[in-house]
Amino acid sequence: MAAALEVRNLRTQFLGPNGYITVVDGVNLELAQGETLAIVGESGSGKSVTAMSILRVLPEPPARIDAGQVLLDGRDLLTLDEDAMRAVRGHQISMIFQEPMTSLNPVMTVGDQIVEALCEHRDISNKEAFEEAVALLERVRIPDARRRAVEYPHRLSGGMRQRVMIAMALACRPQILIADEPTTALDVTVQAQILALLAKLQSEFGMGILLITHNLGVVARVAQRVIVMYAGRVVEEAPVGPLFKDPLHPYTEGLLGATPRMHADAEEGARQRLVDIPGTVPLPDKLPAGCAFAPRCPKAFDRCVKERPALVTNRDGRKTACFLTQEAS
Amino acid sequence: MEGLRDFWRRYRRKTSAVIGLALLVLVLVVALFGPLIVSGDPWDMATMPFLWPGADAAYPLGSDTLGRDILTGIIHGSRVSLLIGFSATVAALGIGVTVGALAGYFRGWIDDVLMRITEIFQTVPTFLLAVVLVAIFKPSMLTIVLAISAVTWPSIARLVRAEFLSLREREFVQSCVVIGMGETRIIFRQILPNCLPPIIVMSSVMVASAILTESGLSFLGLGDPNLMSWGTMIGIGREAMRTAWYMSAIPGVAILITVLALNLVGEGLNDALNPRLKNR
Amino acid sequence: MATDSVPTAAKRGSRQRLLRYLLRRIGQAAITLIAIVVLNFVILHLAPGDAIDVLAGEAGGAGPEYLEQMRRAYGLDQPIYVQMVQYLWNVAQLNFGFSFRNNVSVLELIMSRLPATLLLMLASILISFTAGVLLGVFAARRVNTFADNAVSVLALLCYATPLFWFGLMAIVLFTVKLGWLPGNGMYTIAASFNWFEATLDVLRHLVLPALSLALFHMAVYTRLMRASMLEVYGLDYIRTARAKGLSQRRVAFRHVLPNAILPMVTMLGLQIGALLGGAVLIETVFGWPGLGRLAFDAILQRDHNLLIGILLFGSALVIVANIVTDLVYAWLDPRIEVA
Repeated sequence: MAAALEVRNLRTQFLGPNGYITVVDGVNLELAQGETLAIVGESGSGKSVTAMSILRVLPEPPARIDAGQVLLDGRDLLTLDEDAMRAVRGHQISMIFQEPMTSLNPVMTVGDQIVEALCEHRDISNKEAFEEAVALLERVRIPDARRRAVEYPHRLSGGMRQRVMIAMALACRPQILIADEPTTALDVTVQAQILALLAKLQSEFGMGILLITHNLGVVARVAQRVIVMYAGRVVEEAPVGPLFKDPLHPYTEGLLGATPRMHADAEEGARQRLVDIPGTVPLPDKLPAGCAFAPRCPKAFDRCVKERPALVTNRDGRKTACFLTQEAS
Repeated sequence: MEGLRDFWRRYRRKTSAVIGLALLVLVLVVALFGPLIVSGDPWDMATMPFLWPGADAAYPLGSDTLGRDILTGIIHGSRVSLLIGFSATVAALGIGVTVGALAGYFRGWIDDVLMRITEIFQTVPTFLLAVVLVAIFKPSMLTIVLAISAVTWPSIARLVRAEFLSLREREFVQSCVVIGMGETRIIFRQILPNCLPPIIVMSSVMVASAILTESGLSFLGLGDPNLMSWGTMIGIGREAMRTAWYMSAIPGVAILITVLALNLVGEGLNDALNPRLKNR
Repeated sequence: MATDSVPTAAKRGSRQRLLRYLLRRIGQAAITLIAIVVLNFVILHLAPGDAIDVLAGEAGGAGPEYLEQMRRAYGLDQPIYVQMVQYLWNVAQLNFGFSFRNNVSVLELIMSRLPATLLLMLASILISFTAGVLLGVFAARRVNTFADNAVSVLALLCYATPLFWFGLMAIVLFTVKLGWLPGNGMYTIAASFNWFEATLDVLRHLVLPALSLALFHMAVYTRLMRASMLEVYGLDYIRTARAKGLSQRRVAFRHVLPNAILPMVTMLGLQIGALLGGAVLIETVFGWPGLGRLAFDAILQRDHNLLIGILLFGSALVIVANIVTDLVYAWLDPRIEVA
């Protein structure tokens, strides 16, 4: 499968009181059409910043993308000027966000917000765009779509608003959909519905989904491959099955808990155990010299504190950034 | 002392705040020491009328329609403006803090009644009310100060009430209630000191607006007839505006500088006292 | 666009809610107004001399028989609460008394001067709001640049300028020195114009006073709008709008501005009272034949009855303006469903 989206050596920094601080460092990833790639990690791991860097929607300044390439069908998005980049946003790459309650403009009807996305990228009359918006709302299973289209967001529930966000994101049939914690703010039954909807739409539209989440249950359900991030770097990358069966990096292990499970209660288990790792992600301006996870790692030894392990591919074709797994292989 | 130094470090970070403070100090120096340098009654005829600024070194700012020295007027006016500005603010603080503290601390029907009264004072056009009060009670320093404070206290009351409502629920206040501390003591010793920063910030802006209000009143002829105020001078100059506009222009600039200085200081205080921005 | 299929039943329901809300607001307003009348009554009674002396002004103008007649009309021989009820009853009938100086009833005087003041106020609201919004948007889109700082300095200066002084200086410059615009009155006296020329004439007279009156609130709006824009820029739905591929311009004007303007509407209601006060000064400076100028004349003539009438009327105007503002706000912000 040829990668539709490829990120190479992405480095994103934020302006702090004493100069720039690196928040995302040397991230590589590939995403093919129809594939779902999950990026997991605790908050502060840099996964959302990675996603927003791809679409270049971080406020600059204080943010800046310092190095790397973001290749969409071989074209580097980081070299595009603002107008060319705008033509990509919402057209070839779309994004949905964590907070459906605050991600829609409160003084604009949901229909108009979808119409706006359509009219921005397609030569289409307002009337046609509105008809299409209604059709999109129907596709994301919003009952009574025509009536809902002329309502304001506050009239809709969180799940409904996330459906509107999805409809809006898919309005121009993007190749890539970035979903940043799309279900975190929703309650459990609604989460399942939204995930099912995303999977169904993916099979219909064939887009690649980059799923940002801290919820391993969600990953198990919808993703094919997983990237685990810690403190702005990729620490492990693997297909979903092997990763859950046999996590290599101690951090992944910690995320999954002692006995990784892939089934129904994996979601709950993962959520509980996520907080079981003692300590917190170090702040980006206070990274230790060695492995960033070493201070929290139960298996850390001398070398981990002194030296930073690189992301290395082992014999199974899996990638980790940990001396333990690299020495073992 | 350490806190004061820390405060100054935060305050001086903003250039405009430092400029404001410098201007304010200048105005204060003029008000305090000016009369020592320029002796004489601002109402006395000192020289020939319609003397343009710079025409006679003895009267650098010129003279007005009746030959009164404008520099003397400006200096006396600075005393009047600042005195009225500060007294009116102190009086407004007295009313506003009392009303706001009572409403915010006791809540319930006391709050309802006091806030209704506050609302009434906020509905009446403030400057118009000040005009009516001064006109009916005869213009004097006292009536002007009272009139200005009568129209400005509601904003302080609202601010203090909001602070009290939130501080009241905080743990340190609750523990004072638990150990049986008296209400007066809780209000004055516990809660009030904690809402001082926003009160201080608002006060500096209130002094500025009181000075503007006073100038408007005295321009309309509602100033204290015994005091030479900047507004009065603008009013006098207005009669000769077509030929000698400097008579109105000079006191106006004095008001502008003073009010600007107070506003800049207010902004600086706001930034320096606002804990949310402390570490930025 | 796209508003065809709202069911009529829901529309009818919201209209009923609106009506109920309006009635409640009017009820509250009536109570406030009564309280203001009582406040005026208290002021009159605290004043030196009896109320009729204050009302008539001590410098003569009304004959002693008339004063006696008024004392009876106001029931000054009655106990104080009867007097108050009498006063309230008079005001309720829009009877603000009589101005001996002008030999007309106060209400008639106010009504004859009202249009000029309303014109002046509307013009300066329009100027200050529009200019404030534009400058605020301009500054917020260039935050922390030279242009942004320049706007801030301009706003600070306008904030600190006594508006009547600005008016005087504007007359010196634009009327006396340059001769561009008239600086006195509302129309050219003894000119024979057709309706178009007459309108133009009034507009020319309107420019300087409206601008002077607008200056302070332009500064207020500029600062508020800038802060409000910056706040909205940080919200999630602006990120959504950018992720859609919208241009900076469209994000600013279609998404940020409509949300950022909401707090400005609240300020609009608060502005009316201040404008009335400012009108006293500005109309005095420019000889504009409105309520403010009337108030100044009342001060000069010690016609306190007239002065109080203007104050009462002005308060009523503020109350009405506040209700209108609330309705506009509810209309602009779909989240407020008046209940």
